[in-house]
Amino acid sequence: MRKKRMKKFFLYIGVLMVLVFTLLPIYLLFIATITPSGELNASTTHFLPSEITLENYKNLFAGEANSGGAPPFFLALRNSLIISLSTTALAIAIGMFASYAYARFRFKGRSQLLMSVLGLRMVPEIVLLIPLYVIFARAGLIDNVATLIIIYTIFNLPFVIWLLQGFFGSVSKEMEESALMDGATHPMFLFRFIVPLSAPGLIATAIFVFLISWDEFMFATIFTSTYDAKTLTVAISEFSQKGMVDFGLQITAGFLGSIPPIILALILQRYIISGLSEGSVKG
Amino acid sequence: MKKLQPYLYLTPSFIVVICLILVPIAYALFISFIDLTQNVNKLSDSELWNFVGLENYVEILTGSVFWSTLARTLYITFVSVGLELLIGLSIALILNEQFVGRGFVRGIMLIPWAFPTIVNAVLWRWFYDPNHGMVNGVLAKMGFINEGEYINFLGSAFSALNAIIIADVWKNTAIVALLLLAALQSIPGSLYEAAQIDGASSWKRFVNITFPLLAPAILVTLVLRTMEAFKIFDLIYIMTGGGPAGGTQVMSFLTYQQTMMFGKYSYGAAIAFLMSLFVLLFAFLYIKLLYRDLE
Repeated sequence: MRKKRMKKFFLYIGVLMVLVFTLLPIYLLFIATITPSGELNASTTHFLPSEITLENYKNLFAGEANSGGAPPFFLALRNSLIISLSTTALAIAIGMFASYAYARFRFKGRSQLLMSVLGLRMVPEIVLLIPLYVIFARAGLIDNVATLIIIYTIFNLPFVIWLLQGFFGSVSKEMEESALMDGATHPMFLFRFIVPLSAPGLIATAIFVFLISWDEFMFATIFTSTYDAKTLTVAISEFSQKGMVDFGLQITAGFLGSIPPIILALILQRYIISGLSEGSVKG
Repeated sequence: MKKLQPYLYLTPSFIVVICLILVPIAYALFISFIDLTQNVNKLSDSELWNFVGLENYVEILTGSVFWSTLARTLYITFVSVGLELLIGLSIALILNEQFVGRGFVRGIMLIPWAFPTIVNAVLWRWFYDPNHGMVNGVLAKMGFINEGEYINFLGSAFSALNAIIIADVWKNTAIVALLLLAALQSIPGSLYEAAQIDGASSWKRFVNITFPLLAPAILVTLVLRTMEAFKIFDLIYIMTGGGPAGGTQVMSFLTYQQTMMFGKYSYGAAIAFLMSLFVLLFAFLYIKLLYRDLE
């Protein structure tokens, strides 16, 4: 009995350590956003601010394009939202049909093609960076939201196809046979049966694509030059005034920029966890 | 007609993959064999056809920068992934026990995973700041260093490398833990009950039941994380910019620097291809492992 209680005690200590490990940096980030900037620069430990201020938020929201001040937060937020949502829709729309073919048909070259899909997912993005930059720069398509949508769709497509064919494949074969017997065509079967029945998988895939696009930085910073196309990650990296990083603003933009993906992950965690067990990981 | 149907469904993705992935890769290979060193906007077409053969590759492989960069990248990759597996497995084992609020804690673990890498980089650069960083503050409060004798963690190569590793480990351990936890939960409880009846100690149960059944999940997680860690870019860009004096230069950042900052597109393309050889090696391992699962 004593041994059992000791075990429980150590278990809860362990859980507490896991929580501290996971949440402490996020807590410190939040605290920094409401600490007066003078205090941030004056001391080295910031567990609690001496007074709470919203000046960082106010200054951040006041940022405008070409003002010479803080980067325009809302423009960057708009670009990030447009790019992430469009990429998610586009990658799933295109990938869905390919996944259907891989999941429901047995055709020549199927397994080889499926393996090359997985192989394509592994190609380091940086290999594509140089040719795509040369192509898009020569075509005058740099600093364009649509360019980033196209690039992100390319990256996510092999990943989407791989994940969705797994989810589509787990819909029962008998259902397909009886639906097709009743005169349903393949596209009807895809939209009326496969899509609703694989909804959890589709949701998980959509979240992964959204988060990857929201998180992306390397291409975003290279392919944009103004706030017509700069995303939130680029804006966060650029919070500098007169060569000095305005840390309060930068950290506040970072904190706000982290909220959408975190909320999404927490609300839809059921889907993410089942999607993760399918053997996929966000990069 | 019926035979063609699957290919019909594949057409849209074929078009995207061929036009936007395979053609650019071929183009990158072409670029790596020419000498493209100027502003791409000003370049005329004829100048593009200046073949230098393998010159770029020879220059890279005979220089010392590539090899020291590779060594540094491998150091970050292996230490990061090793720590992530070790801490991730410990967390997974804790979360696999019964306790109040288990679902809640598991949800919390998704936060670092969803947390943008660029924000993580900004946050940790601040933690390490020599003048007002938390790491110095806490070390001083605990008496390890004197007030005012703060350490510039990102100021010397070796400590900067390890500082970057810690930032990477914090963000990615959570996902490793969740993946291993999912695998742990699929181990049937009856196995443990049988072992308990036979009087096996908890360490014996871990070594003889948990670990062997967890091994495939560990391997897949290991290979996936290795591939990702090898491509590390955002943390380097924000935290050190490859410095001090190239001390945290990694493969992705070297490619970026050579092309986007110095305009050496061909040289950069060649580095990118050499880098992907390593990633392909990891990918090959991963496909082998998954293929085994599929059959």
